[in-house]
Amino acid sequence: MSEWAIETCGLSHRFTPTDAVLQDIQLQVPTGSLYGFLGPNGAGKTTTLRLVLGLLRCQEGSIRVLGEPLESRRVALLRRIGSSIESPSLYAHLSSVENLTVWQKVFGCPARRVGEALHQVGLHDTGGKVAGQFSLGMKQRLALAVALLHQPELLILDEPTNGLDPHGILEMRDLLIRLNRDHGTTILVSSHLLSEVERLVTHVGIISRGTLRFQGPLASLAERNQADRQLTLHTSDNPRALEILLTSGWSARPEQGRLFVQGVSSIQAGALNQQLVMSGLTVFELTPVGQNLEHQFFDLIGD
Amino acid sequence: MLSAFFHSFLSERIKLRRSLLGWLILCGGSFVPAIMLAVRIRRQQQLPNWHRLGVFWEKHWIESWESISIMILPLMVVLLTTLILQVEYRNNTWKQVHASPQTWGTIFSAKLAVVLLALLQLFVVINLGLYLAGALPSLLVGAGGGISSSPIPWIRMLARDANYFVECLPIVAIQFLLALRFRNFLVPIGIGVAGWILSLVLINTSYNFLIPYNYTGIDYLISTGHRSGQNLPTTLGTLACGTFAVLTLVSYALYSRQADKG
Repeated sequence: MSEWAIETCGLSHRFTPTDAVLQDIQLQVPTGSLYGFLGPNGAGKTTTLRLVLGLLRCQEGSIRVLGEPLESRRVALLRRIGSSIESPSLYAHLSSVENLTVWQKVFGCPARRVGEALHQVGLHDTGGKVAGQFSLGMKQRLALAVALLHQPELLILDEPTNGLDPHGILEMRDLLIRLNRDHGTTILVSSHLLSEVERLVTHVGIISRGTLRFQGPLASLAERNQADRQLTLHTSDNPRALEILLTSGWSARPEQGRLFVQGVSSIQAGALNQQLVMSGLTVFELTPVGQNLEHQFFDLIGD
Repeated sequence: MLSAFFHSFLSERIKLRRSLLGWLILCGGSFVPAIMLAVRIRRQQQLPNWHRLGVFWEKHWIESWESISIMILPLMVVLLTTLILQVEYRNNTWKQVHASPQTWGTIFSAKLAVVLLALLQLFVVINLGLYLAGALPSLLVGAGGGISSSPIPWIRMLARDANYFVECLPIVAIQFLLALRFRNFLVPIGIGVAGWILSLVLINTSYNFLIPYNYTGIDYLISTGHRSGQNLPTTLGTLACGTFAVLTLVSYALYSRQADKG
């Protein structure tokens, strides 16, 4: 089994000669991972995924999927991949069963898989209702059922939670985690909903303006975050607190009636608090800033 | 490979369930037979004379096919082909089709096969309709002494059907190419209707074979003795097959080389 479920090397793409949509993307999605592909709208997420699925002709660079070159093994590889790109691709005049039967014939999987896939996404009781009458959330779930139908080794989902209500997002997240944990399915989920991905993925790739800004385990992003952590402080005597902090070697500055202290880990924050209290100051507020993926993300996608 | 084609073909057929295709075939195919039925019933007093003719069925077939060959078939082929390929554009499903484990050849040939099957179904409806339009009037109004006993020239009629079917193929190829390339269905329909009108304008000239939208009409005129067909460089069947083969290859080349597939 290959180390990488998806591996691109020097992947670049242009829609017009002057417009480089992707530049030198080295995507490495570990086999068995739940990989969050993050980026703001227009960053190049969908273009990358379309290239990985062979929907766009590769102009520069190489793509290997499940250890094999995409270009020469496209059809065989697509048999092992389930995907849903951009808006759900469904036949609006067909029922959910008919929609799945279309793909059951193509994939040649057993007919019982139609019912099983619908059960997995909770759409087993939609009867003869056609997909055109579904809510966006139901369409997303049906698109996921299409992707799951042939029990793929690799699942590529482009913004799968779009249009889902909070309960639907939770269900989708649980389902993806279950698939990853119980069946070992490698899952790549693209999203611009950062909080969504933070609770779901084991690895992240952050893309902005066509370049990959960060890639690795979620834990390493969090570690990177520790070094950049800030604290905001509000005490009974901020000028004196600033003096104490600067004397102790902290990088601190006053701003909008608060103090901002740079590069403080959670252990250091406790010691810092103790030092201020011991100096006779009352600490009204001590707030860590930039601890979640969202702040890290904005840092990474910034110019 | 054959199995992949067969499964892809079945999948394509499922996509057309509950679509307008069935109604289009039924309405388009029974349009002329319905008019013929109405005409026969309206002129029921003439039925006994018609039935006494030994060539009732042949005359009935020839009269009916005039408008079918010149108008109905070209327009129906334009509509059928466009409708079948529009299923993917309308539902934004090309990307899912192209991300499925099928070669470009399998996808292309399965869709083309579905169009050809729809055309065949249209011929079945037309022929059944024409038979009913010939048989029903005397049964419905009780005139003419029952269904005409004149022999039905099955072999000759089936041979003519086969000719007309082949002569529709160039329209299938042109419309298939256009419908694959253009997202907006008005483009293939507009070009198809314009091509058909142009072919009508040219039908009485010696250049009528240059616009392949009315080979069926030209064939009808030749077979009924209204045209000699001497202007044709070869037989209409050969022209139709050649045009179909060339345009289908061009269409496939354009389709398979498309850089953006959804």
